[in-house]
Amino acid sequence: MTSSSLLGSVLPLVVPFLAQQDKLNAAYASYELYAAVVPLLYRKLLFTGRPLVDSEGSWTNIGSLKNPLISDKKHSEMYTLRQELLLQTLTLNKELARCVEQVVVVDQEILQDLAQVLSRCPNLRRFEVPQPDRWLGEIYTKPLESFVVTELDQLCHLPDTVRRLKLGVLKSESLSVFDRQRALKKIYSLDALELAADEPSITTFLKFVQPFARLRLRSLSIVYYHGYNDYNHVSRTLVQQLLDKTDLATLRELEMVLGCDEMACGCLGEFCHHLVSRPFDLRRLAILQRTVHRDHNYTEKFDVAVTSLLASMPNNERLAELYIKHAPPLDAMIVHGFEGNYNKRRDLYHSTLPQLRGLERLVCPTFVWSLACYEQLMSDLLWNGCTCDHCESFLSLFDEFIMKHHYYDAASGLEKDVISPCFFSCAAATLAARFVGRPLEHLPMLDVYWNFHSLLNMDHDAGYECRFNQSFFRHLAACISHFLQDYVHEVSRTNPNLWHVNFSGIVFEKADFWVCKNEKVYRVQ
Amino acid sequence: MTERKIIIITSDGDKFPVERKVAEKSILIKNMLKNLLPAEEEEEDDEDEDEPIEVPTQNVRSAVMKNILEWCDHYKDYNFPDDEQDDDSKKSAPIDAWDKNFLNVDQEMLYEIILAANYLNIKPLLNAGCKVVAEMIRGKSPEEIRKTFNIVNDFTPEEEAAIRRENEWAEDR
Repeated sequence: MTSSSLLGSVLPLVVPFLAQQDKLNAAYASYELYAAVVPLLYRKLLFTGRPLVDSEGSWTNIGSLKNPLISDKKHSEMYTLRQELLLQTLTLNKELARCVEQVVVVDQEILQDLAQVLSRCPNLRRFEVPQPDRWLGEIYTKPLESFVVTELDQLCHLPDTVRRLKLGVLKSESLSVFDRQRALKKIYSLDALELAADEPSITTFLKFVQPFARLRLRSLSIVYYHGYNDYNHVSRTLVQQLLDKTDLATLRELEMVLGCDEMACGCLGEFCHHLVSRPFDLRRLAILQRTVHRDHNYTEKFDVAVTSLLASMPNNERLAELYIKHAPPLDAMIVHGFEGNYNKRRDLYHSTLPQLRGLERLVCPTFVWSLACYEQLMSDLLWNGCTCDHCESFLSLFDEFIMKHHYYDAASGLEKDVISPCFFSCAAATLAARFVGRPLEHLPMLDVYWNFHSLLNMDHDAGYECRFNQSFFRHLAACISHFLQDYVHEVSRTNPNLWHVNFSGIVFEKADFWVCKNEKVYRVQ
Repeated sequence: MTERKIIIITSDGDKFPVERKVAEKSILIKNMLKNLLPAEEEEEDDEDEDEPIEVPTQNVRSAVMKNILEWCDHYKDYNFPDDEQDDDSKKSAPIDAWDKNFLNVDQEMLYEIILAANYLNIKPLLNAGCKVVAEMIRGKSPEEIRKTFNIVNDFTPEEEAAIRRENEWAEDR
């Protein structure tokens, strides 16, 4: 075998490690490399309509241009154009259509003609598009591994290959042609169940499955939320019953939306306490806060429950990945947002994380957003933070921005001066929008920008010639990444197996030392 | 009871005696041994106990196996997670300095190590090898890739234009 043909054999293994443009450039180098790369380029299609922060990986993005200055209209036009080109290619070259296995559309529309062509791809294993019902006739005949259910009677028609079921928003409860036993058989043969839709859909689904028999799942997503006036008591009870019937010996991945919006209620703590009495042996855990309140005390209550769960969970030393997402308000104005309260929350995690001795990945999409709720920290970031050349240059510009801008405070109905918490909160909310898809799925992050005016109706003072636009956002993200370095080093000191930290979409990775993966694009020349 | 010797036999007939924990870095060999050994250990007749277990590896030649075993020996006391997802989560991890140095070999040997790691199911070595090749491709134009890997452009200009048109939707600009 020659060296070149050896490369052809190796390349299919290497392709998932390449960025999208590198895959294309390799395919254009010779016919042998083209034959090795192209099937993988079409295998997993992700429709985002946006560019990616980092396109390395197995997904091929159908997005837009990387230039941050182009308008939303241009993004949309470019996205449509790319879809039309893909449609043309798949229509002309049927062999390429055979390569398509996964199609996922996130927060976007997709051209109906393209969706139809994709739904006909013979090797389709996953098809997550808006209004999937339109293509059911086509996709029922495919070797699907994953399915989004929007009507319960769809369960009866699923191919036997389906292993992951995601509950969408149920459209109807029509049971006219319903074979309950057949549907239940399907549910009990699943490896993964995602019950993270709206409350009525979850309740309807769980009532249908009741009484629960033993579920042997590898992955489960649930919602346990005590809402205002306890409107969702039934769904909470059902979720708890479902968990009790889940075989924890096989469960490796758990995603939970948690919250309790009654300050005097202890249900969240009791739920977590109940969980730690069960023989969990998880490798990946995601916890997402749900609350309608903008009050430190509710978040602290959530953190107390979560940290006690993490500290006492059986086999917590085997947990390799932890994802925690909070729900701070966009303007970061919370009740009781004092530095001492921040210290209490910090200490909770500081004493808990070291107990997760096997932790390798820590992901907190709202880390900076949570910090932004405490003014002292944001003032530190702005005035007492990093002193590198980059931060010296840009932080003073952002200080000027804050001085010259105001925003609309919906709570009071007043125009107010921008202060550092709401400025960094808007930045952090934009960074949090990089995350798409299920928390533990690791879909690539979107490269999104804030134009410094679109959120909170922010506007500059009369007479100020404002030059801030989205091209500044990368520099703001770079300043934030420098501020985060101390946090990364601290958590890495207590968790030596950690090699990947993602705080607010800013990724740090360790080989021999920690590097910020995103920062390379922000480096000042 | 002393541990039985494992002898790995390469495609060109060379034999490599190794410790069991070194051999078991390969999930393929680990599963083979799991099938072979428990039944034997239960037997009361111990007359085969000193007989080494021979493991044939048809797709790996001797020079490559020597390298593979060096890697396995280096990591023999390190426990890699055994239930990794088949997703992109590990792909972004930086290459360890020792691995980088270990994989600093000529291109042909590098490819053979990758193919052998794939055949023997040694995922951490496979990932490290793939990252080294990916690093050689990163940011290069098709012409630069041809130079790096000594590849001849066998497309006609018309063919090249056609495949560029075909995949234009994926151009990441």
